[in-house]
Amino acid sequence: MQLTEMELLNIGEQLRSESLAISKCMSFAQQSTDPKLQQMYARIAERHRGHYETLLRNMQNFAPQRQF
Amino acid sequence: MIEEKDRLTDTLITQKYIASGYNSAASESANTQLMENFLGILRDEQQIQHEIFNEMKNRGWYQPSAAKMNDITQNLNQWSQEFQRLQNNAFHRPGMQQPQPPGYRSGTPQYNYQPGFGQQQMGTTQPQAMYQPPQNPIT
Repeated sequence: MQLTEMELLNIGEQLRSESLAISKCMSFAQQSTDPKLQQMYARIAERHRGHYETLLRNMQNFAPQRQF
Repeated sequence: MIEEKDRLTDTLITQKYIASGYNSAASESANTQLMENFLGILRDEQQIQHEIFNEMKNRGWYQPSAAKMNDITQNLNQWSQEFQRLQNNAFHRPGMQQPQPPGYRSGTPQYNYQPGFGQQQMGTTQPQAMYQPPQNPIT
């Protein structure tokens, strides 16, 4: 099965958002002075990283060769 | 100066944006497996969003005031009338079954409203007066 242009575009768009969310949560975890929130931001960053990997795997499945 | 509350708000807005992206992406997927993956992540994004929402609520940074009883009654009247109008007009076509009164049918949302709301408008034709936006929108 082929990947449509729309699907590729959407995966890319979500990867961009997830990437920004990871960076943001990581820096919020450092900036925050509340230990509970520090942990929360770190946890959320980790979940976004998981999403990023899932998206990337989906893209890889449609790539001509497994290069990654 | 960015404060603790601003960071939480920023994260909440980010979550809303990302979730909405997955919603579109899922519906635009021709590939079933890809759609399921989008939906799975969407669910997780919603959970993160709710987590942040709870954190803000617990800290008193998100305190929506309770809806006014009058506004609820007014809205309920308005939408009950709209439902009556739909029953009387939209579903009443030659050859179609006679519309049934609302509230008994399976699949009809069970609102806890007093029966009789909206009955006054039954049969009358006042298309202009049917939709009245609430005076005090609930925010």
